[in-house]
Amino acid sequence: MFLKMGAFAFGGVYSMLSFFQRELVDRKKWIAQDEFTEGVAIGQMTPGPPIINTGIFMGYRLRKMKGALAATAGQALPGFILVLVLAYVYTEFKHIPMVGKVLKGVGAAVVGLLVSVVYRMGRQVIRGWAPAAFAVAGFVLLHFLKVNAIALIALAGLSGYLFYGRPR
Amino acid sequence: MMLLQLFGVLFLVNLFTIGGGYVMLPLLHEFFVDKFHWLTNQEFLDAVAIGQVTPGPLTIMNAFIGYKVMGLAGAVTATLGSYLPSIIVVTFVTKYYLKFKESRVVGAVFRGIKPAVVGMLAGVAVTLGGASFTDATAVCIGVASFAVMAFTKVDPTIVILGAGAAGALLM
Repeated sequence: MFLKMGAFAFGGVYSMLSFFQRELVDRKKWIAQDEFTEGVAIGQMTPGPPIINTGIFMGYRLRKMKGALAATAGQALPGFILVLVLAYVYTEFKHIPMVGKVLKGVGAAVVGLLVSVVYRMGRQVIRGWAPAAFAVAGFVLLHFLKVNAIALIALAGLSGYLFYGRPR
Repeated sequence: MMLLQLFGVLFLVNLFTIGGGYVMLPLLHEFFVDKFHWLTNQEFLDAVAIGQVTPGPLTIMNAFIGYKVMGLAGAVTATLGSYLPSIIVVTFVTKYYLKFKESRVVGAVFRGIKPAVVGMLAGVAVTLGGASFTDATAVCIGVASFAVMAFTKVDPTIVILGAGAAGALLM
């Protein structure tokens, strides 16, 4: 079941969500609609990939710990196998000049992709001067001052708490 | 020893990256490229590309990094380290969900983390751009990829495959 899901995830995270919805909520009726929504929310606020976490949530609801483990394995396995194949091909063939050219093109595209992620996330998250200041601080501290990234996330969380979390 | 280090780093990184995917990149880059020197900037970009074209979340790129550094054992270790935090935290949170949802503290903490991560990711993009944009062709591919990803709904996999073809023909 969850294996089928992993292969389906080729289409990206959103196709996966609609797949959960159709398979588990509409067809099998294992999970109620509001529980599904709850699962999506939990997936987004827990560490790790949201869709995996939503799957773990559903697995846990259905079969407790066994379900959670099955959900993780099923979701991770298809990608894992494919990555192994690609990693093997990569290490064997990366020194062929042609492959090097392909990888250079791909690398440049990934940089563009990252900038587009910054752009999209930025538009969604940075509203007003306070989030903008957090973003600039994150950039400067990481890029120029080489502050430890985990420490930075902890610091940002703490500042968020002090700035937004106090009772008014 | 290296396996243990790999596991520990990925466990820690995944524990700290809520939202998954791109959020973990600044942390992975710091450990694997800057601190341990296990990967070059170009290899890091290759890992992101492979994570992107395979099914499932970007996190699977960690299996590639593991393989690259320590073979099959590395790949397995990396995958376990990446998913274990999810299993532990999600099963815990599922039990106490309602309390967690209403917590203003959690909301405030995230309002601080989210924009900071945007800035950190920008920092990594600048570093990697410096390594990757070595000639005009590379810059063109990067700009085209940005434009397509930012303003259209084309799947990243297609962009990456297209860029690979462009690289083969033009570089």
